Amino acid sequence: MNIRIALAGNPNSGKTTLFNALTGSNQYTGNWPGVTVEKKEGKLKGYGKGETTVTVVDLPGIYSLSPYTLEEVVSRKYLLEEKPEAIINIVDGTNLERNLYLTTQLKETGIPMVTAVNMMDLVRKNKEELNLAQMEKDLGCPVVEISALKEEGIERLIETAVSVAKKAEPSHRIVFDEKLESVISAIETKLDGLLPPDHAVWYAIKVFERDEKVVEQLCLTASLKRQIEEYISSIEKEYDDDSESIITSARYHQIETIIHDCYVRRNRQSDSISDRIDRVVTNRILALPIFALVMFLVYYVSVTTVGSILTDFVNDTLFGEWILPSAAAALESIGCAEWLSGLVVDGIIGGVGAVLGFVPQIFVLYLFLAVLEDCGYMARIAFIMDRIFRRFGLSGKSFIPMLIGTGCGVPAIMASRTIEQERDRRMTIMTTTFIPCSAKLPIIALIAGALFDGAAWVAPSAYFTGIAAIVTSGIVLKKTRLFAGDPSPFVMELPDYHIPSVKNVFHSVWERGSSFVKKAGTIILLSTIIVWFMQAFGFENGAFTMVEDMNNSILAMAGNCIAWIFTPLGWGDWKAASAAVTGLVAKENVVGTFGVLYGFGEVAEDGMELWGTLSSEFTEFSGFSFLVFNLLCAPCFAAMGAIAREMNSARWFWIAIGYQTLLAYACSLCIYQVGTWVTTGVFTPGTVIACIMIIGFIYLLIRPERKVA
Amino acid sequence: MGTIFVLLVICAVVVWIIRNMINDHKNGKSVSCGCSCSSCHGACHQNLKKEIERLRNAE
Repeated sequence: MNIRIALAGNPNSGKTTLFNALTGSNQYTGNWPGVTVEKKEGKLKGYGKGETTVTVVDLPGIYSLSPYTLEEVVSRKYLLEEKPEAIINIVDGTNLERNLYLTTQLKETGIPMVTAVNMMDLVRKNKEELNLAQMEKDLGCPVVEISALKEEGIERLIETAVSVAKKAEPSHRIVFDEKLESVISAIETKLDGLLPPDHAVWYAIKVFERDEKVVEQLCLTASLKRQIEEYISSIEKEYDDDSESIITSARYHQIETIIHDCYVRRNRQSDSISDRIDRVVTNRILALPIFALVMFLVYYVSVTTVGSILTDFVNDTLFGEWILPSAAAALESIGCAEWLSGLVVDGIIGGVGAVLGFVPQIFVLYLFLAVLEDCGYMARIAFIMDRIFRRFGLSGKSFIPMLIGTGCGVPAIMASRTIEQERDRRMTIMTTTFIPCSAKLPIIALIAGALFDGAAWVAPSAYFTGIAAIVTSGIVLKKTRLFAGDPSPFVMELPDYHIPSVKNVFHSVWERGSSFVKKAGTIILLSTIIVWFMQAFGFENGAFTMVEDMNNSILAMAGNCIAWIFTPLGWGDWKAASAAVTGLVAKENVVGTFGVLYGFGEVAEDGMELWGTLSSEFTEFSGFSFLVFNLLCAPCFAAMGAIAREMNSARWFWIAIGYQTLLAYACSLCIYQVGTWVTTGVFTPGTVIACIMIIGFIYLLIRPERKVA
Repeated sequence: MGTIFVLLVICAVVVWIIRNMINDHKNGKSVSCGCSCSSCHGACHQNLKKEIERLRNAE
């Protein structure tokens, strides 16, 4: 016998934690068919095999079963069409009033249900007490107290859920007042034969609420619609409210009764610690400076101080004094051919080593981001940015993917699915990758260290350049015909602050950091081998051979074909151009390629290592221009694939990539040309073009908004 | 002898990496991503070329 149990609850109610506790590692993650919403399934612990198998289906976090968001539509479609044997409705015990709204709607589906009141440890910590037996009576379904985080009550919940599923007793919904019930009953009678028998009442309520999707699904005749509309209008006149609000009020009235009945002791303290902290952190005036300071410190410590000390050890001692000389000596001792020794030392170790050298900085950055995420501050950033974004026709909802983008651009692009408005979603997808992801951190650290002597401002400036690119792009694009319109509404729950969990932080840092190292050992290793071959072989003295002068190599030939494009940006050299192109495979490849081309694997005669040779090839402005280009231009192939998938349109895909690349080119050109003019006084045609671009961009920023009909 | 040994080791590593990439590709994962899949919420399938072809055919 296979039982399916749907897990439903509000976002932030602990659903994911509960799902993990119920299923352990027996999970499968995919997509709900036909839509871009995550679907998770797993076998219930202890019920994976045998006579009775139980599958837990994790529905998306929703506040109700209304048809306003994709997640809500997907959830109710699953409940009504797939008909799971039971529902586990998880509610946040510290926030019952809001969570119980979904509970009342889930009961209307008639599917057997058990309510799991989560975060009971916090309820007790808040010196509150709930009478769950009374709640059970009021709700008409079993209620189990749990703490998903501490894995308390899980066994009892599993037993109760399986028992409820096996008994298959339909759940009884909460009854409204007489007048409302009579109208719903009348609608049910009117639609007799048209409604699925199992969920007749649910459909009748939805028709009463004028639920568009349900009305469309039932294909009601015009005459039926008219008659039902009469019923609805009469009660709307009586209650002096619209039908949806009438039902909502009725549900909340029931919830008030339940709350009144089940709270034995309630903490009436108005301001929690989180509220007090938020008064400062989300303050109108202080919020942005605090955010800027926090991110400055994050990047400063990660790249410039702590991270830099560790990276210096990895580069200078681990690779410079231990690994490279040992590898060279070992290869020489076994009589390895010189060209192969060059591949291993200069190519593989040089290329991969250059990237791995930044692992300490990556780990430190991830540590900070994990702490900020786990303590609850990251959620506030979206709220803070919403206030600013809204002035420019954007929404804070667009900023949430960008917060995710500090780790990796691919999930950041996926996260844009939460944005309902198509044009805002497209704009978010186009601009999300401007935030430097972890793969771009080695480029930032390399440029900061090689050209700016590890100056504190370089790494944070890369982050804020990304933010500036997002904000200015949003302003400019919102004034175009393609993107004009009101910003999306943004409602967001701010979770309470809490001390970051060491386990969660460690898990997050380890998972992301080890992915970085794994990537270095796979795709970047392959790339460095290819780059090494291309720079080591070419046509010299009329023959294809291993070249003595790198400028005769295949890579130089290929790089020279495109290097001229980057001349106005200050780095029209085949090496820099080749590195930028290899960055399309993975952004870390830029550093890996430099490691191969600029000899990370060997110390030059004059004792200069990678950073030294690099600083002789770039000026400060050309180096910063190179940095900005790689930060803003088209992302890696993986992220481009995500863009293609999320845009679901070839035209929009190329618009996104084209926009990113052109913006990167324009910004880099302006930085180099204007910077060089200011410092050297040399005025060139490039300077003229840069000035025109700047004036044009300022005009696009300040021109009046396009009015949308 | 040393050359052959080192060459064999490098070839073995490259073959192993390519084999893993092919397996990832068959399982619908990105071959160049390297991010942990849990952060993508299982919505991978990042084969760029196939995506562009699919979009072209759809349009």
